[in-house]
Amino acid sequence: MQLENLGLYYWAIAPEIIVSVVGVIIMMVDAFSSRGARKLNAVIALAGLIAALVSVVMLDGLGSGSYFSGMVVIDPIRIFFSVTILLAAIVAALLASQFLKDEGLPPGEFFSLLMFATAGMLLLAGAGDLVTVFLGLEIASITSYVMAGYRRYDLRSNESSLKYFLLGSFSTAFLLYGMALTYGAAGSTNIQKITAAIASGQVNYPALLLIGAALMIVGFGFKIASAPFHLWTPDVYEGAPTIVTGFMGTGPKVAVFAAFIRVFVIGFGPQDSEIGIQLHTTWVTVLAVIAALTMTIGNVIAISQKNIKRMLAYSSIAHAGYALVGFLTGDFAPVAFYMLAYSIMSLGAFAVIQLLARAGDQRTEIADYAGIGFEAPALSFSLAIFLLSLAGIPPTAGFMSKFYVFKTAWDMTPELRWLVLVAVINSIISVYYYLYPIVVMFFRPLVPGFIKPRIAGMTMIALILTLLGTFYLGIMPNRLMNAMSRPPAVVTQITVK
Amino acid sequence: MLKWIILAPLIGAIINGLVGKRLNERLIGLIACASVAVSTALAFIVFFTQLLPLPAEKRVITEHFFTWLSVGNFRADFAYMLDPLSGVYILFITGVGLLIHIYATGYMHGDPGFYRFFTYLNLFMFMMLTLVLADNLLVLFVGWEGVGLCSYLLIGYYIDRKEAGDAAKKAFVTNRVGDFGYMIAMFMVFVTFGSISFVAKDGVPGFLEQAATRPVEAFGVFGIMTGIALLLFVGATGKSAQIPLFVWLPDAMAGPTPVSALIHAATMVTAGVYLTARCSAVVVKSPTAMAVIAVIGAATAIFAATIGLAQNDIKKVLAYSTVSQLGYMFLACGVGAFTAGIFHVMTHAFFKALLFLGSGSVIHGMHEEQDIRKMGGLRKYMPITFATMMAGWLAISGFPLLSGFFSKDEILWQTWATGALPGGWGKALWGVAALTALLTAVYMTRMMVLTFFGKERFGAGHDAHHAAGHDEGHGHHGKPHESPASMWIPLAVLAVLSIVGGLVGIPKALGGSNHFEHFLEPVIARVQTADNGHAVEPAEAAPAAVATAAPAHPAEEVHDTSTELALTGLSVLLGFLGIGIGFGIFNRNPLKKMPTLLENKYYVDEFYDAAVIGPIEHTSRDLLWKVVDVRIIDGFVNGVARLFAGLSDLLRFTQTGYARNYAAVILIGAIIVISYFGYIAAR
Repeated sequence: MQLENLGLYYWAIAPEIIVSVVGVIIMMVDAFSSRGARKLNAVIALAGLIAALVSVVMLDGLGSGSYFSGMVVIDPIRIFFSVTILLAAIVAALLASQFLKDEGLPPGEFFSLLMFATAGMLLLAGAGDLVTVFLGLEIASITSYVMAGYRRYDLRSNESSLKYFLLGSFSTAFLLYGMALTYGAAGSTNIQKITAAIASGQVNYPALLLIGAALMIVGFGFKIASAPFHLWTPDVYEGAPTIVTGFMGTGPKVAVFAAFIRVFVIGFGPQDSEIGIQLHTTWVTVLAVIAALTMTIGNVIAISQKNIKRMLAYSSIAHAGYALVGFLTGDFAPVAFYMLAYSIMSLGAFAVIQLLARAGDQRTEIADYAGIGFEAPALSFSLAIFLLSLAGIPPTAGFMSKFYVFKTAWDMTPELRWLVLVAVINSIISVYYYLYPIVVMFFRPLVPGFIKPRIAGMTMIALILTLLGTFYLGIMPNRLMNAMSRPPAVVTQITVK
Repeated sequence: MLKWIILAPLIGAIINGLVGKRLNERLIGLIACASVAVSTALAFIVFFTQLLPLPAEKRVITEHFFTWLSVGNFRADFAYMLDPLSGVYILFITGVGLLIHIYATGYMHGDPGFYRFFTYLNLFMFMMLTLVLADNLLVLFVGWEGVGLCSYLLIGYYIDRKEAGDAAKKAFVTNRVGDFGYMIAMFMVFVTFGSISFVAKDGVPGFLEQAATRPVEAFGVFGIMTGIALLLFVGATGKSAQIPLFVWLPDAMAGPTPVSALIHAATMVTAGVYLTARCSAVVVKSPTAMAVIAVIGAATAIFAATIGLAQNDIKKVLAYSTVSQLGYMFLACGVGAFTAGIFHVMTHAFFKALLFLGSGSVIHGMHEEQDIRKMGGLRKYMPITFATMMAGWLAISGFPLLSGFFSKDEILWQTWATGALPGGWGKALWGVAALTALLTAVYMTRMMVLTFFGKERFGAGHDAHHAAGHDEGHGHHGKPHESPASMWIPLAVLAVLSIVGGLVGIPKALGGSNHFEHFLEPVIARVQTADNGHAVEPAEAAPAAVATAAPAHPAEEVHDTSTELALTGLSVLLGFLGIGIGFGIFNRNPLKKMPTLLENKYYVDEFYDAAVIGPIEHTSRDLLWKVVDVRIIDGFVNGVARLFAGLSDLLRFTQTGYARNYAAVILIGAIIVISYFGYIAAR
């Protein structure tokens, strides 16, 4: 057997390789260098992530195809989601340096964990087979569990980590079982072959396939924090170090959405066979209900939160709901755009929160923000912009991404217009709690004991990048939208090379 | 090139906004004025060297900045368009704007927020130019909201004065009501025509061109065109202070006087007229909407003029005068004489900016006194201000051959001769407009007489006021004084423009050739009646040409000019009569008590308080507040939010903090999802 037939083409997984190798290098450097080489770790990590970003862009030049016996694919979904994942990782790496210094935490492990988590997410975004989906998901999840508990001496951080681990394992079991049943029904774990089996009606036990899909919805639903599988989110987000929260809320979610799209939107898309149609209509119905529930629960509970991290945790639940609306259009582009916009504004908000919280996350109550508007104007205005963007006020990324998702859903899926209306009403509700911290910051008397935080150079770069991104996507989204709207048909016609 | 006209003031605003705090006044003023000067120069160059040489039917210059978004069939570009209509606007916006910027460097001298003021003022110029140069309704709306924001910031500029804050809020809220109409209209335009652009894009003709091919909706018929036209007009009533949304403009005088001159007289408030003229192709399809616009315009004109008679604050008089003159402009649009409306916009920009700046000079010279009852005899102390304001006063009163005379006379004549409205309406509206012209001359004369003529009524009372008053910055008490050169030079320039500005549009009846009207004609739709509307052919050549080959203008050729001349003579007579009455009464008895009803502005504010604001407050306080939760609520908005917060608290109980409970919820959710799939499988 010749190697070429297996598609062993290592360039196809270049980003994953780069990021993993850099993770190992950082461990080595950390083991053999003196203390205080924190900056060096950050620089190596950033260099690795940027190299990976370049390799992702080069992958785009290879054209669509699948490699390693169909385990890995290259298609626009992978490209766009990988870019988002890497951007999130870059911002996290920029922020980590100051965070680790202020907290006095060991830098080496953090950066290597960040790299391994990123590798897992990239694999997830490029997975063409249920086995690689699972592999990527586990790599990303296990490293996230550790990162959530990174502040070892802090009880809240431990609690966060443990809860995430227990519930994550519980939900992974559903996902794995769902994959097993799907394999039993379709006779393959390769997503394209599963699609082909469904399209030709050659499914062993249709019931098995449907139950398999249901179980996978539970598994994926947990990872993207959709209702009613969302309960872990606020506790985990609140307890984890703020920067980890920011990263967990964006990177893994983006990656899971990519895999979710590839399995459901592409794999279980509307096929011509009876079982194909049945499967498609069923999951669309269920996910539409889940989307409506998710945004409503996320937004409504967010209103009564007193802690800004918890509030943003519920906000992230709500945003997963909006992204699901895009998911149901059958096109990946609205989701990809939405997740990119969400990642940028959410990371920006968490960056400011981390700075204001000070070491040990002491000040994360909204009451702690009273009157700081004119004491720390740069930070307060940045936070206000990120919150307004999350609320979907033009001319920010948040507005444009919502507009894009809602407009596409309204045009392409007339039967789901009710869901668009629910989403619009939800965005109106959400304005209330996003404005609340802004009101507190600018119109309340100054809270005693406020110390203006120091902003390190790398943190400043991260803030500027996220701010620019928020406005760029809000004002000039067209280039990206055009790039994304390459016909999704290409995605389904990949041949095994 | 077009984009630099727009961007130059933005650059000025950015520089002053970022580093203005550290610069000295001279430099800030220089940056602000220079940025507007660049824009003015470019505007004149583009207008005279690029737009004018084009053949009349093809006078459109477009410039694509970038595509904002294009989702599905919805497309919005950041693109600019210069045609005769926007050309006229940019000339007087940049020209008058530049003069006011120069004036403001003198007027705002010594103000602690100097850089903030000029940042806002430059930002306003940027937004206003975006508004008039936009090539589609969405970009126009960006400018529309932008000028609203700047207006809000500048009305509330004196942050330490409560009335300024209240006035800013009032302007903001009132304008939102109008904007709501605009947004619905924009949505309807998109649904109806599949385009919101004024020019053709991607082979889709602009909506104005499409509208031109539609049949006219008969009077009283409520079709889609009537709906769009009326909703656009709702937007216009907000921005241009027409009944019933005019209440914010007089209060807006709480802002610095240059702002009143630039934003609340010359430019922003005429945006509504611009919108109506821009969309004239839609408006002329609906005689119903035109009648509404004409009646509201005429009613506003006379209503505000009567209030203007009894005001004692010099800026309030001018504010009501502005409302009244804006009414004239809408009357012109309503009777189908859009070009006459735009003509009046331009001449009004000259003489009203002049009057406002003059009043600013008076206020400055009187050490922040605004009450004309406490002035008098100022002509001795402020000769230049007096001489220049004379020009403005005579222009607005319709003194023959001054700018206001031509434009106002054109509106009066077109109203009389209109073919757009059912028979008799034109004559009745002409009556209202002519009476308004008389009143205008009276109240303007009253203001001039009380300010500049008669005995000096300041002195002891003035000083007493001063001690308790708000002016600590000037420091030099005493006699009124003439203003510095940076203030009177713009006055002089505007005075010249107020005198000769009307000469571009001398009507045929008076031996002119009305260049102005012919210049604007290609972009303005002609009035059609239901009969000839069907026969109209769409104009093919020019992309933005909405002109339709309708039959000859009703006002031209058909009538012999004797009626027109007679009416002109009559309006001249009314002007002189008004000035005579004004002098006769107020020179003898300057402090004559005016009717209380007028002095209190017909109690409109009180009526709104009682009829709109009161009930809302009442409901929120006595119903929602007490029903929902008394302890935590601050007001109405929070009341609604409380409902959700209650629900939120309820739902929060699901968040126990125990991992086992979470697992149980996940399990229940999983069982429901699996059961549903199982049910489908078993079916």
